[in-house]
Amino acid sequence: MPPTRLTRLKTYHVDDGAKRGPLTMSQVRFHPTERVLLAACADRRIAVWNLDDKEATVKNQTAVAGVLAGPHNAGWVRCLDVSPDGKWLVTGGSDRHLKLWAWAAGKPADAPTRDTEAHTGWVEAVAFAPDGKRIVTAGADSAVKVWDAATLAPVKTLTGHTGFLRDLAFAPDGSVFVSGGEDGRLLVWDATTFALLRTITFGEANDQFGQNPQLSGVHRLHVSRDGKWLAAAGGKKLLVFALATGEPVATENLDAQVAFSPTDDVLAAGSNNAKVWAYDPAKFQPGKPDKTGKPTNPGPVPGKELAQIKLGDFALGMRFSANGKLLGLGQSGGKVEVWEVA
Amino acid sequence: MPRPATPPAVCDRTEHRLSRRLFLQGAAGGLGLGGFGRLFAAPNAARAAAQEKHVILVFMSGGPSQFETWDPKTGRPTGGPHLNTQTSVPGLRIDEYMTNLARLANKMAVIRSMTSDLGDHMEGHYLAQTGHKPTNVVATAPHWLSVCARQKPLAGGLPGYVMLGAESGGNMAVPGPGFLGAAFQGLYCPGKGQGPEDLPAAAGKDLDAFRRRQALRQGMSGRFTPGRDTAAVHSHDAAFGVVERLLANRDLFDLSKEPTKRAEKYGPTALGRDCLLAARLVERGVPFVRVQHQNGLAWDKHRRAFDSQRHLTREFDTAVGALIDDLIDRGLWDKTLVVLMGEFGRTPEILGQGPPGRNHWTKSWSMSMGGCGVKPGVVVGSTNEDGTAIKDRPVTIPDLFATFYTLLGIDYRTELEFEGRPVPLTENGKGTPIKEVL
Repeated sequence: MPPTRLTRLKTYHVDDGAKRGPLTMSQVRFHPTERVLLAACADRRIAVWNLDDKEATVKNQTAVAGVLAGPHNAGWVRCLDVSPDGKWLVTGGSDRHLKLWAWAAGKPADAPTRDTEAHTGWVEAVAFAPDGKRIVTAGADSAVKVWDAATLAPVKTLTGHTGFLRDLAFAPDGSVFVSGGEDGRLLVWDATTFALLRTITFGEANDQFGQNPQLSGVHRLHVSRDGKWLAAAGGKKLLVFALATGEPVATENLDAQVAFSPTDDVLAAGSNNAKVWAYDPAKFQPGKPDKTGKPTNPGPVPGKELAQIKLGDFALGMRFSANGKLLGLGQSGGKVEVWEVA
Repeated sequence: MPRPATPPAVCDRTEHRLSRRLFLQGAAGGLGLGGFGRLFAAPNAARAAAQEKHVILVFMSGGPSQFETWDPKTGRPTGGPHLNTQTSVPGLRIDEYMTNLARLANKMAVIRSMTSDLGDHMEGHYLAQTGHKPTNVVATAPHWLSVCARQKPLAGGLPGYVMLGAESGGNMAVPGPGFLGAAFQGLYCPGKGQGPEDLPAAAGKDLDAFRRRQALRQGMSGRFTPGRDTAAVHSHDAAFGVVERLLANRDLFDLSKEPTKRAEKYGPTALGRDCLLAARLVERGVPFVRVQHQNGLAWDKHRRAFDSQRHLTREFDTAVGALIDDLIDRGLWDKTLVVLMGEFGRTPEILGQGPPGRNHWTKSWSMSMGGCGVKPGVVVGSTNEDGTAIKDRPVTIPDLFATFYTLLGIDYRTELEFEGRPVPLTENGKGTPIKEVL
């Protein structure tokens, strides 16, 4: 049975008491095998929560308190991922470093097992391959890099983007991965040969070199559970593409965030105002050509809208849990809301 | 009935647009009727001297974060995501995206202990560029470059003060000449490396045609003025005189004459074009140039600041780095004061109006200057570990202005006069030159 509703469960919050403003969220992940929520935030450490801890009210805020772990030496953690077997955490930071942390007892180790200077710019995105053997990173130096997941030894550097990169994602079968960034392009790479298979134009690249965050190309991207659809969100719009052909098949006026459920045909997108659909993949269609044969925009996401969620300004961080039953939504006030998908 | 073609001898509409704008600027100045000529020439031969000093002010409108420019607190809770980089001055580290300014730090001075108290953009802009707080009580204070244009007048046919770009919107206009009058208004150029707007075409025949029409205008004025109040007529004629001098000097603003290799060093941005134009103007003898970094409070990073801050800092560093390199290479560094500043700084707390971002902060902020005798490699003042307070050597805006004027050979204790009242160069005559940079 496909999901039919979303229900807000709990709010998770983290703060270390230093007087410096809230720890704004930027990425959210669920541990694949344990009931743990993780987030990259405005700090050199990541936020970690036990999903089952109780909420408590502190200074008019009712939330589950988290801890900060996995420290980089400086800057902010920009991205994180957990290996499919749940045994390793990888973090990338504005300090250019990629760190691999052993996972035990519900949290990362105090010190990284491996640490490497990965890019000449900020490490903006990181993902484990579905088989756990490789890690791929995307940096502000426009490079996509492949690493051995056990040793962090470099395997390959892929070039082709210009400008800062923002996100990358594997297809669930591990056959391809996709990178996207400020140049407004999505590059589809063969995960075995590292050949560039396809270039997909998202658009909205900014000629002011990112001065307007509303533009600046692709912010986040994700691949559907069957590997057929690629969704990308930019400063003003969401586009869903057929991954095999690069044809746009749906569009919405939603910005910045996007995530597919790994278990159901459910798509979430948007930051300030997020929407969640049980989408109908049979009805994804490119726009019909106009009288001159020029392609037109595709229609909205087909299917049933399950929820509209107001998150407030600059709410960043969106991901489903491995079993598809939870949706984590990061917010600017140092919080993550977790919703049940049922 | 078909409309007759416009005969070629009839005035071109564009020259009227430009001259009308110049005339109205003069009328708005209140005291400037008939004074346009002074924008281009020294009225007092005894005061005029060969121009020996220049200023290029690159105004970082919006309030640049000291944490993401000259006073990083990397690794601290207030530090933000940026790292820092070692400069050519031992022990001085600045933002990671200021790689050119890091290389050139041994040519510049940095002040980390600026302090002021007006945290509103309009008021902050005004104070940071006039040395006075906005008030309705006394005369409208002039921009400090208008003061320089008056105190260090230029002999010859070039403009004394040129503005490249301006802040737009509401009450955040760049301060004008104030009570000094339109003669000391900066010649406005719209930015992106463009010269004055509405300048008639440059072709030789157009200049000849303009001169024929100018002779006709002057002849008619000469027959009209005897026995009449002539101030408005002189001002009107002077406005066309400005146009004529701009036409004769239009090469001044023509960036197409710059070699591509030189232009490329400044970067493909509006600021890059304007810094290149500023260098060109100064090379050719224009004494005072103000460059606006973007229109729209570019450095005012309240919201999702760190998505775009590194781009802004990088484009600034590229353009200004190339400017400083150019001035040094062309032997102009010792005569040109380069000032890099905004109207205030930004909060240590990364709160913003849409986190993460930083709000306005006047207690402790940074700026940099160099050239024209500024002691190179100097760092004045410091802030505490988290950048929440000045640790030592607070510097006020009047101190800064006293320093600017001293470097330019202007007595900072000078008092100008408005309606018989003395008006000091900074509010209440306060301010002491920063001895560490002199």
